[in-house]
Amino acid sequence: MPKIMVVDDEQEIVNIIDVFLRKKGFEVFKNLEGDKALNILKSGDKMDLLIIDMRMPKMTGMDVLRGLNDAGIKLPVIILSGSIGLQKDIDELLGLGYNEKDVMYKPIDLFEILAKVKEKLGENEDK
Amino acid sequence: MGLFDFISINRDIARRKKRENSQRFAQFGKFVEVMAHDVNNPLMVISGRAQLSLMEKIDNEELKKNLQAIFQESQRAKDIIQRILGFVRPSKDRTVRADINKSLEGLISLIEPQFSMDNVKIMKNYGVGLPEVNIDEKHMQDVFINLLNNSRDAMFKGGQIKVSTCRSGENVKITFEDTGPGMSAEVMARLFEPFFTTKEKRVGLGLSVSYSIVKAHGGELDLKSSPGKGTAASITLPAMPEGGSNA
Repeated sequence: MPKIMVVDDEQEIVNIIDVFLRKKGFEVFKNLEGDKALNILKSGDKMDLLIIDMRMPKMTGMDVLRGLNDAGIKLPVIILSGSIGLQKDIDELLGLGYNEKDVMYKPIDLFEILAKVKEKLGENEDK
Repeated sequence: MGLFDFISINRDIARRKKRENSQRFAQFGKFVEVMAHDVNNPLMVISGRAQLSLMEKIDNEELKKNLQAIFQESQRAKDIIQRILGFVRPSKDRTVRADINKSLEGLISLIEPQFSMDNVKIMKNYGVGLPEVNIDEKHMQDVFINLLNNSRDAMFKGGQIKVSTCRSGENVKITFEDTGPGMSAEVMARLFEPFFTTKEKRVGLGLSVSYSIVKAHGGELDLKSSPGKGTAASITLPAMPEGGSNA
C-alpha cells in the first residue's frame, strides 16, 4: 500500500485529504508542521509521495523541499497552494527539480488530487 | 511664476501620481494574494467535505443536489479568485503577440450593437502598420471593455467614444475619448483606489484592476478629464521588436 505524507497547517484540509486517500486505498501520514515533517522524512521513514502546502508558519513548504534537497532525499511531491505562486518561488521549484505542474491550487477537487497522486506514483514506479 | 517653473511643477505632480499609483498597484497585488490564500483554504474545506459526503450512499435526492451545488459553487468561487489573481500576475504562458487593432476590433464588433441601443456611437481611428504587442489578450480585452463601459455609463443620454491607436516612441498607444460630462479633480484623484466608485451597485475595482493589468504588462494607464470636457483614457504598451519570438 503506497505511503503518502500530507502536510498542511490547516487541520481540516489534512483531515479531508487523509479520509479521501484512505478510502482510495492509500496509507496516509498526517502532519501539521513543516519542520516535524522534514525530520520524519530525514530520519529515514520512507514515503512514496509527499503532499505539502506551500504557505505554512515557521517552516514553509519551500523550506521543507529545500531541506530534502540538501539532505539528498528525492521523492515525488505535490505542492498545494492557496494563492498563485510568485515567479521567484516557481523559479526555485524548477531549480530544485520540480515542475510548475506539480503545484495544485486550492480549493482542489479531491478526484484531481487522486489523479495527480496516481500520476506521481506511476512516475515514481517508472524510475 | 515663469513658464519653466510651471512645467517643472506639473512634471513633479505627474511623477508623484505615477509613484502613488505604483504603490497602490503593489498594495492591491498583495491584498489579492492574501485574500486568495485566506479564502481558498476554507473553500477547500467546504468543497472537500461536500465531496466526501457525496461519496457516501445518499438516498435523499434533494440532499444530494444540495451537496453537488455546494461543491460546484465553491469551484466557481475558486475560478473567480484565480481570475483576479491572474489580473495582478498574468501568466507568461497566456501572453501572445497581438495586433492591437485586431484585438480591439474583435471586442468592439461584439459590443457595438448594445452601445448603439444606448445611443453611444463608437468611432474608430486605427493607426496603420503598428508594431505588435505582447499581451494576455483576454485580460487586455477586460481592460478595454472596462474603459468602454465606464464611458458609456457616464453618457446616459448618449454620446460618442473615439477609439484610436498609434505608435508612441517605443510603445503602442490606445486612446478612448468620450463626450461625457467629465470628472472633477477630487474624483480623478481617487480613481485608481480599490473600492472607490461613483456608481451605485458597483464594487469599485474596475479601474484598479485595469491599472494592475496594464502595469503587469509593463505599460501605463492614464486618465485625463475635466468637468464638461469628457474623459480620455490612454494605455501605452511596449511594442514588440519586429520578428521577435513570442516570449
